[in-house]
Amino acid sequence: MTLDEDALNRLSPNAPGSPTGQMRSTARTFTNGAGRCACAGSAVW
Amino acid sequence: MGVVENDWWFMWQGGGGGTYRTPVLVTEGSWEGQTWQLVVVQSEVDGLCETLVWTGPAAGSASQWMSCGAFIGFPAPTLSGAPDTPINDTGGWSYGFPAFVLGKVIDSATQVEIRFRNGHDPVRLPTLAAPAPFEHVRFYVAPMPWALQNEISATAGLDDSGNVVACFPRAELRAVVSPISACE
Repeated sequence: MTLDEDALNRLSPNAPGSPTGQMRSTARTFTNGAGRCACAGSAVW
Repeated sequence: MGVVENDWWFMWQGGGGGTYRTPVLVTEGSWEGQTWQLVVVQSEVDGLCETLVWTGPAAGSASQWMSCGAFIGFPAPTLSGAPDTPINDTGGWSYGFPAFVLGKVIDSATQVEIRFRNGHDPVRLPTLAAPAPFEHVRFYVAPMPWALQNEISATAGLDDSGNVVACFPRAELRAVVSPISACE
């Protein structure tokens, strides 16, 4: 499963409300509970 | 430290099972009463990946994540055209757990220096050797407030003499200067 960054950013395991986590990386791919995202930069959920 | 079992969250989500080789435990520790392990794994498609896994009683409430990318000796076939990098910097936080930085660098770098655009003193961290097949990669990990991470301007790998051997400069410099010179 490959998701875009928006999809990764929408991951909200405990929200609504405040973010429950953030990450940033100089690498190109993030993976978390929402799936895999080929996107450099940062994500919030 | 060494090989760990093949039952990690990332093998069941995102990339799908079967796309990772055997994970290796690099180091482990505890911050603010929360225990963790730093795990590195080679992806068949995404290059070299690392993740900090919380292991204490409250770990189930943490949001797990990891980053992957092309690294020297560990290409990422899905990222065609992406250069194999000599240094990588990642960080993050999950509610209820300390924020942290982690990364990897070529094995000539025995320490990394994280620099900041807000005038904060640079932070130097020792790098850690890892078991095979990652013996030519060194890793670093440390707690660091998220607000300070947002001020990072560059991350440099330094050898025993303090010479810059790897550099990830701030974005605006990447296109116009060589990576090493951007950290000198």
